[in-house]
Amino acid sequence: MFDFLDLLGLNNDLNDELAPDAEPMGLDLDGDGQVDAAVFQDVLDTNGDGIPDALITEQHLDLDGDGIVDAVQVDVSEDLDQDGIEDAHTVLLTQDTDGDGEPDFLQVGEDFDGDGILDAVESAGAMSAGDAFDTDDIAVNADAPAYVNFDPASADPDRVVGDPVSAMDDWHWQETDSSCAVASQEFVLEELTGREFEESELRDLAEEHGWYDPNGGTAMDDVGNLLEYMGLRVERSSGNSIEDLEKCLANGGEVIVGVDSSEIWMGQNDEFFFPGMDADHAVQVIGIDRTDPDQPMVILNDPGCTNGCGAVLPMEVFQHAWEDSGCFMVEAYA
Amino acid sequence: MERVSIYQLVSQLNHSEQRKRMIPQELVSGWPCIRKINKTLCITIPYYNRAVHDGRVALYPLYCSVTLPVGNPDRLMDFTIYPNQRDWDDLDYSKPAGYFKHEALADVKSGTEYQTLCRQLYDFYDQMVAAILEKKPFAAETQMIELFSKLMEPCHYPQYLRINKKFYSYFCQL
Repeated sequence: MFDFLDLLGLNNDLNDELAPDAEPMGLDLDGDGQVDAAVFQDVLDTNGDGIPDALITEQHLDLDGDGIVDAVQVDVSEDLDQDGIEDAHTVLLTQDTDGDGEPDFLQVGEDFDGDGILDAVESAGAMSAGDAFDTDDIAVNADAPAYVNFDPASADPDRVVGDPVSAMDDWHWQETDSSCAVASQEFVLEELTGREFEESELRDLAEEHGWYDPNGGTAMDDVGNLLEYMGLRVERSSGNSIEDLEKCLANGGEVIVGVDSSEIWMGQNDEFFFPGMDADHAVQVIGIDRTDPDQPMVILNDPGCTNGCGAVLPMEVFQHAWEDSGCFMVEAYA
Repeated sequence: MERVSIYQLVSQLNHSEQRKRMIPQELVSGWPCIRKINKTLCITIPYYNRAVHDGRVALYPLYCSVTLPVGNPDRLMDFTIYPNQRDWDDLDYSKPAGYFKHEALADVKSGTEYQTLCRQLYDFYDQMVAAILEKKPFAAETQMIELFSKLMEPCHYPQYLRINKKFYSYFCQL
């Protein structure tokens, strides 16, 4: 995610880059008389010719007014040929709402055609459906299905079972095409133990025990073995219902299910289809959202695509995809 | 033997305890072959991984196959994992063997249409098995060859030939 910063000669800690010499401007964004943003600006010479060609604007935002910066937005505006016309604009937004020092929401956006609208976005964390991103020019990520991602601000917390916001912190894109079950187990482990794990280490552990083959994947019966190995209580069953999922989540459990990826990724798009029969993908179910009782939704951490963090699916679509695994689920409890 | 539905047999295996124990859940089943082991009519079902790369469906090499008696599908006749076989160690399982959909399916515009063609092919399998059991000619042989040749993924075809050259080279002509 930070590669473009390296290319620009910036390091990850922009405070070190800008703070020592830059004087911040205080901003009162909401007009309540309280400063809730500090803005730093600095110039950069990206091509080393001695002439500044990029303007960096860094905004430190206190979104909840508690005096602690919980979001940092960096805009890099480049005029590489110094003709006074911006050639490229890059935005990096990190959000750390829980104050643990780790970004829990990271977006990198680029405006390739200079129309003022971000064309490409990589996101690790929730994307609000209200964000205005222009994806007509360039495919954002052709591996990303047309998911809407869970937005807690638009859900009624009394009608959401599970803790999707917390679970979304654990999500990442699976590191290989055969490791969805390992990644899903990693999410569950992190949620129930509070510890950080590396998928690569869990893959190695699973392979050593014969639970995972890098050339094939994980047998359904072996999903959950990593969780048991780490001391969690695990139950496996088939023929389950949505109510069974809700019961597990309501009781503080975490759950992994088997689904047909072609059904959850392509949904209603009948023009994109796959060969082969039956279920092929493991995902973590992190919530059931009945905010709209006529359109209940299932919230997933899907490790199989770049925008799978808090992916929201109509319950009917999820149910159909789940049936291809015989409604198989692995419940885990601390 | 009762009338056999190859589609149902494959589907039942895919939802069975055997499958949950033995075959990675990331894999999907491919095109089966019908063969005889001694006097037992059997079906061999291959499995492979698929993934989406850059908006295309990547197909990984055939990973394993299960062989069952057609008349007693609860019994396992053979289970082979190909990356562990010396004859298959020339294949690189870290890379796709190819991509779907192939050229022969250019005129197939929807998943609904594709599934209809797949079910037609399974119907031909059923007719073939019935002809074998009843010792009668297989009337739909030409149609099965035409459809199978259309649906077979070219990137997998050489691996299918390794599994059963006689069956796949006869019914699927690429």
